Amino acid sequence: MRAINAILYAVTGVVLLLIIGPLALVVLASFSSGDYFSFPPPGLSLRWFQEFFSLPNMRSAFLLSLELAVGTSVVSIVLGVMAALYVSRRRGRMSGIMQSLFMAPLVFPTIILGLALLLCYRLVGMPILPGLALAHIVVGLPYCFRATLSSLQSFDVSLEEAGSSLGASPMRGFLLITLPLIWPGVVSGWLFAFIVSFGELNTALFLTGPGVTTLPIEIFSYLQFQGSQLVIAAASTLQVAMILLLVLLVERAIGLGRIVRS
Amino acid sequence: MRMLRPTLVVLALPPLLMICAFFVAPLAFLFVISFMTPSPEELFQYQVTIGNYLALAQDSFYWLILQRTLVTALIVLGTCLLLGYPVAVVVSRMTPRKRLVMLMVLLFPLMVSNVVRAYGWITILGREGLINVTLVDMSLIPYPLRMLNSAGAVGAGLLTILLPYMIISVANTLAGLDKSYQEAAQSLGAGPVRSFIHVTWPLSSPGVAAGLSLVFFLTLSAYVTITLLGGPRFKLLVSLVYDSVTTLQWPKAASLSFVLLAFALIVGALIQAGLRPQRVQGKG
Amino acid sequence: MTDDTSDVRFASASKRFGRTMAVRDLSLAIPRGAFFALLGPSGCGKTTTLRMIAGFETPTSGNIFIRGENVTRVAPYRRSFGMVFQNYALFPHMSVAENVAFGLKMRHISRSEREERVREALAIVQLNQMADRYPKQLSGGQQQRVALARAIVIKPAVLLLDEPLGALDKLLREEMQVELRSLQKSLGITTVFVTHDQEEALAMADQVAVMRAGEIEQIDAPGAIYERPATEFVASFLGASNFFDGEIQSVSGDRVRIDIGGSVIELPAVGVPRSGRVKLAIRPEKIKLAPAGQGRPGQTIAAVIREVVYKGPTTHVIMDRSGTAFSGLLQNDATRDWSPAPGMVVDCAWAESSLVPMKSA
Repeated sequence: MRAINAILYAVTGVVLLLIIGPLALVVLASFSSGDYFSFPPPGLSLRWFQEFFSLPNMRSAFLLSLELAVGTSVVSIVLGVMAALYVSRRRGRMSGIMQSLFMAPLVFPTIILGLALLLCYRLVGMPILPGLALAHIVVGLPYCFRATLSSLQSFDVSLEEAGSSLGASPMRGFLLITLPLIWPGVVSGWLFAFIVSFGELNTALFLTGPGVTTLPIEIFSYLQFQGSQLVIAAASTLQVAMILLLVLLVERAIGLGRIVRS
Repeated sequence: MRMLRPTLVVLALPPLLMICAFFVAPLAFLFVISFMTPSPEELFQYQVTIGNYLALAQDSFYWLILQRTLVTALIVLGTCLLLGYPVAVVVSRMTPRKRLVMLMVLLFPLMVSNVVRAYGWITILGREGLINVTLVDMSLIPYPLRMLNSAGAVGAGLLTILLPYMIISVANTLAGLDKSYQEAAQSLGAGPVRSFIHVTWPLSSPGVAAGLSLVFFLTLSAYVTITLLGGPRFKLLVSLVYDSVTTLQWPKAASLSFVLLAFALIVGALIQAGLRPQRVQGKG
Repeated sequence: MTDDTSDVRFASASKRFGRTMAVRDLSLAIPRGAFFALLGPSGCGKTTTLRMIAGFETPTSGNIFIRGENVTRVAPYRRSFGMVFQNYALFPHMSVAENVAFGLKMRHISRSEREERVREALAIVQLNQMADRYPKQLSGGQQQRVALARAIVIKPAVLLLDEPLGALDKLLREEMQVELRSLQKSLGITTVFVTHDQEEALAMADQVAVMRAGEIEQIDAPGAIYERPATEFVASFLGASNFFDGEIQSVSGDRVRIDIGGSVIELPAVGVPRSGRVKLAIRPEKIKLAPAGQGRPGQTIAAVIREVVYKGPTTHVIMDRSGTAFSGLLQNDATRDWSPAPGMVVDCAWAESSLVPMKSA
């Protein structure tokens, strides 16, 4: 048994290194004072972050990603809550079909969705930014739907009935009784929609265009055409920092268990 | 319930319209295009043909890529299972509090864009990367090794992205397993090894099947990781889809997409058939 | 100190979880062929005791013997026991026959013998027709029988039952109690079972050990443990009991006179201290009630009825005697010619042997 345990823990160590190592290295490199990647870095500085914000392409990509993530995740969560309310309150085949429909984008290869949307947009002449935003809403929707639905399924409908027996209209019943109780699910659903949009690559690959580039795509094309430079590490660290900040905020609001469960 | 039925339907309409207009319809359209005739002037011609699929079937380069995709995916699946399962066992044995922290540690990298993690591997495997610089400094090698743009680099990159999915999927199943199954096996005389083979492994098959299917789907569509770490030489099926789009061969890109989807479905079905997770779920 | 007649023996075994002592210095011998119940409230250490026999828990100190062999450090899968788990733990991916055959397979028993023994075991629990079904297709009672067949087919030295009937409904539970008991007797297999249900323990076991806070309070046959509880805990855990605080007045020969607050009663001097205080227990159904003045004088005490609760076959009477409440039981048979009512004064009488002195804690 002792030998088996030793193997288990050794493998766990290797795997954690594989998962976290590359990310940690990038974050470390972004604070380097050197001109190019070296390990360990010759000294620490913030010069690559200054460099990042002095590049207009990078700066605008970062801002666009941020705006896009905020905007699309809000729309996703509103639609997701609506869909979850319907599915949780209805039994039967229709409800089952709708459930798999709302979950479909989660497992579907998004790069193919990006391609399909590209062809449609070309046909109807859709402008770039709204097209991209719509794609992100569709990709974020299943996360919002799933998290809200799991909250709603443990929600006791008789509470809402009690509310209506006391004279609350459906809308007020929802706002005053249901929403406060399913709030953790709604928040974690929104968190995932935000994070997915912020790092989204596969639909953006086809749907971004001149003047409209998201940060992941900017990093990708920089890596492809200009090679590995430390400004990329700074861009990556900014992404990591954004997500970390958001996760910590949400953790304060609804707890770690809630995030992990959805 | 007071919320009237029409209200409920009105509630479902906006998300339903969204999914239909921007998910179902475009994919249906893509499917139609895969049967359209390519045209040098327009993007495609409204003339039904199965020529796009036939052309793929007759193209040996395409078969080579298909075979390479399958081999790569199988190696990634195997490694994910081999490395991920032991970690899942460790995670499932943790106290709930520690498990939560561990799951967050595994989940966090998933939240960071794939392109960032691919870049991490570039800093490790690149010409001026961690390994080469260290080895040259130690005079173990005279000049930097070429490690990027290879199957190995793609494999490492994919593992980094996919291992957490595999671990979380299996660990959730293992943590949900009643301990008394293993105790029952021991009470009947099965030691650790046989208790694992006959009881724990089959009971964890739902998590393993879900993890493997997810890993396979994600391997097929991980374009950015494959491109950054595989370079122009190591192309997989998804690279062909992208290349056809950039060369404006719409019908070809569409038919390749559906080949990729069919491929995913077939392997997914094979995984289900091989592991038979339904044995331990739902009805016997 | 080998004891040929005991199948399971604990020698000052203790188990500590962190700061709590789950089992404290337990010494216990379970004779061959016995049906032995470990009874107690949750957290009393009964399950830990059972799991130490199985080897799922290792004692912090002390030793455990199965058939004279010290198994304290032996892995569970090398011990000779069969176990029925609380939730049965039937392997969902194996058919009934495969479940039952599992232990034989692990013991490398040939295929033909395996099939024969599986058939026999399923016949014993009357489930031959279900051999090819899967656990999820069976009812709770049937699953319970499969779990039993799986445990006995390996012919273990001891059969362990962990709350075996807890998941069944009341009717089925009573049926299974009878069935399990007759099965145990006909197989003659030493059986240890854990339960928090006192009726179940009394109905099934030859010997009952009542546990509390990691220690055994009393071991006795079901009749003795109910009729002559040794401690206040046992008296109140098994059924209802009234308690009287008494003061020893005088001892003369083998008789002792005790003052129980106003009235003086006489008891045999067995198990009673020579002087000081003593607590006496009596079961409600052992108290004979009669309207005041109709009982025999000298052996009765008077009480006032406070409440009457009608329960179908019986009527519970809550009485008050100089400030202490106690209860009695009346059979609702047609021969009784009076009805209790609040405020009524009654005479309470009992047989001498019904008043049981408690060991001082």
